[in-house]
Amino acid sequence: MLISYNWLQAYFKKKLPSPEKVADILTFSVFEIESVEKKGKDALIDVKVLPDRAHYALCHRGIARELGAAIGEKIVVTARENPKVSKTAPLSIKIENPADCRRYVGRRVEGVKAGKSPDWLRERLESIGQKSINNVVDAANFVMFDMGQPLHAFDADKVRGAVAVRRAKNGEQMETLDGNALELDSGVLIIADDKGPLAIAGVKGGKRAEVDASTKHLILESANFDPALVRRTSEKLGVRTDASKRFENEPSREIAQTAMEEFSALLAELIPDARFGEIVDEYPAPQKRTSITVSAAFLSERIGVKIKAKEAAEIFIRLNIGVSVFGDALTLEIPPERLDLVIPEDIADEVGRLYGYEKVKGILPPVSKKPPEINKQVYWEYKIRAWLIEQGFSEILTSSFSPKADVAVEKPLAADKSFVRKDITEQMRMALALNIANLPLIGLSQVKIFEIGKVFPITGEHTSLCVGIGQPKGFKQNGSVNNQIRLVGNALVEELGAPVSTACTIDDSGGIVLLKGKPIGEVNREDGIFEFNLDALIAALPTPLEWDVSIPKAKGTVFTPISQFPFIIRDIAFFAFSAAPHGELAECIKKAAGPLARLVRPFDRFEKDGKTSFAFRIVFQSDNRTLTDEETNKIMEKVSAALVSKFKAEVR
Amino acid sequence: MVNGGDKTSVGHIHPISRAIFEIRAIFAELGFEMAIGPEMEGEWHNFDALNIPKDHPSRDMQDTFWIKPKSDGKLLRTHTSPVQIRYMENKLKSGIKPPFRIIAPGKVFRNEATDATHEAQFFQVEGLYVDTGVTIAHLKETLAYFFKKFFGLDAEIRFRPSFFSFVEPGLEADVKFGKKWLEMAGAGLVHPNVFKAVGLGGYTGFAFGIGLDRLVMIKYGIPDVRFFYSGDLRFVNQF
Repeated sequence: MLISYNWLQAYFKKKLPSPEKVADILTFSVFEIESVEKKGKDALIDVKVLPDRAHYALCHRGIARELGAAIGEKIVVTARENPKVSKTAPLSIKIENPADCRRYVGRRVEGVKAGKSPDWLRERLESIGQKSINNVVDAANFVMFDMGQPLHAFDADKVRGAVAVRRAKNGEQMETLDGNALELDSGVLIIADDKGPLAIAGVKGGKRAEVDASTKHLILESANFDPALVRRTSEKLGVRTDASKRFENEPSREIAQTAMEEFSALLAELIPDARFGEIVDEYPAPQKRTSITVSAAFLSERIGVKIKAKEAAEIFIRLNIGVSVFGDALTLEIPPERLDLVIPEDIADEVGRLYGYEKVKGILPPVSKKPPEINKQVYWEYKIRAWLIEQGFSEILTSSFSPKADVAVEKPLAADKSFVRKDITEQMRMALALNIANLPLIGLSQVKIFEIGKVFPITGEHTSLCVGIGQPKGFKQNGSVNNQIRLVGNALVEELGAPVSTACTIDDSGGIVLLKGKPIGEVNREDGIFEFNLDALIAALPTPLEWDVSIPKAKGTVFTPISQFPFIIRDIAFFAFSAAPHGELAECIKKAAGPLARLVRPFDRFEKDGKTSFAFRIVFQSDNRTLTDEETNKIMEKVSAALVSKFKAEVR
Repeated sequence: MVNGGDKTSVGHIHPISRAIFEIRAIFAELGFEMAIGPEMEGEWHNFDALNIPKDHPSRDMQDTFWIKPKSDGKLLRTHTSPVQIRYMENKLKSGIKPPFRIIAPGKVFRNEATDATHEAQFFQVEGLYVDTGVTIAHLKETLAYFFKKFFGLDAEIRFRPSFFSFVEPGLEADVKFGKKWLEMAGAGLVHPNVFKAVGLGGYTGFAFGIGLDRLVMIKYGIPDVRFFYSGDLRFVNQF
């Protein structure tokens, strides 16, 4: 929640530390702070109020109380004079179901003139990014952002009969304050009069009884609604407001009365001629006062540091929680607005955060004498990874989402992510293609990759192992990828000692993998790829007795940026004396080519007539532009010149 | 003919898999075992058992991928905490009582827009220790032990108060890197409602959750989480 530093300061007699320091204090005692921003003579502090404290801290007073507890200062609430009660028309409130509406505090105000708000009020609202509407609406919003109770005002002349809090009837309609026509049903709680809906309870007011420049009389509302009902309604209608946000976090029923008094007092100040009727308080489901007893021993045991009853008591006093101490036991009178303090663990949270976790000295828990059990699935997955890596395969991870499969997701992030994948093969095929295109940069002549991951076919979630080999057209060295991948699959199952056999077509265009006669995978459904059900395979393997898996050390531990710009390949072939060492030739080329040469790789060498022919491939790429042939040609001239000069090379 | 070197080069394990491998070893020293579970979960295991009730704003803390139709109550897990629930259920069914010490790594899913630091799928590793007399002091030292070993530095840890439905007290743990403090884990003492959900009474515990992608990004200086899922060897083969 965005709060104004100046608004917060108004709660303290003493000058507060700087906004940054206040943010720091809150960070280590209660709330994460998203940002602190200077705004003219004020500062905006974005306080991250999480669901546990949203019922009391989505307002300046709640945050001020927390700040006060942290710095040991009591807050001061600006007192305004309560208006005298005058005789007005009666107000009748009918609550259909106390489970839906626990409390409804209403009040008539007569002889008002909705007009412009005074500067101080407009500044307060604008300081937290709220617009000023008119003095009545502004007063309601001010009180909500000040002490957390959402309020509403109706134009009383446009309300016929009693104010009813009831479920809408199917098909009832209402136009909102901002002109949206809403279709309602019995799942929606509304405020209504004899003519129909006046407001969506806790969410949004209707246009019919809107307070505007012509309004002469008001009905004020300060109420408490079932939070789940407000939340479901808000979601269903797609309307989220500052009011609904607070109601769905369930503020205390007790503050509805205080809020009506503060709303009235503020209106009386803004509109001195207004006449205020009786406060009508329908409170069919009163909140019960609660108390919790904890021992200092319990608190010490949870937090892990010895806390004396007296120290804990001091913390409760700072939090405005009434406490009585009997030896080690503390009995707490829970303030009505603190609905989050229910179990002793909640009390441990209050004490720990204000006592200071930095005072807790870490200690390792007792370690078991037995070595931990080995997870069979994890063991074999890493055994398989280690074997594949040894064979030159690298591990990739791809998306679990797919454009078309068996199981669909609601609200997908993109059309091509509407399903969860039923296999890895399709993504493996795309990964092979991507990496084949980049082979010159990677410095390999083939792509050998694998993925272990979950797939979601109609038969149910299982772990899949997918291995693929890809090679550029014209690479003939190792035969077809279909043949190669079949051999790898066979070698793997042999290594594992699994009872797996493959039934393949003669031309290697496909094959089914069988485990004890049951199909668990396929080979070459796409060329060069096999995929097994790894859960089925591992189930047939023995239970490991010790963790004897090892993987090679990491090649690098610092990321090097990958350029998004195209690379250019240049080959250079030359005769040199056979005594010229490989490494030195490569060094010479690298130096002459400069930093745009990303890879220098020898790829051919043969003897002829007492001379040795060398061939090197150089891959050029820039991090910030597409290189031109012209640029590259110029660099190649430099490379040739360097080879000639240093090694008397004959460049071909 | 001189080959380009393919024949002698070994492959590369994915940095996330390497991280899980290292994490397993570090926690095995403390007696923690690995636990894994399904990526597609039921609402009860992912939310209700973890004290995140229906129609409550705490559900907003994790944007969910529901499986069609939503009324079936199936989803892609938003954290690996369901694994802890399943582990405890299984142990209790077999008549095995605490102490329990587990590390649960795995892929999790959040239905939110992707950018350099957010992906719809990423990895978490969660830890759970259940015993009698478990305190925040145990949690603090266990995390310090782990971060020290994983990053190879004299890891300083600090806690900030926070909230997660399944722990109380709830905390965020920061680790110091040079002069900066970086948020590394959510943690806390297991909420009694979680124990109630699995039918375990009379025990205490701590739990923590670490974003694995973020951990690896910090360790290797990787600027964009989407590299992990690109299938691109220009990335994987760097490590």
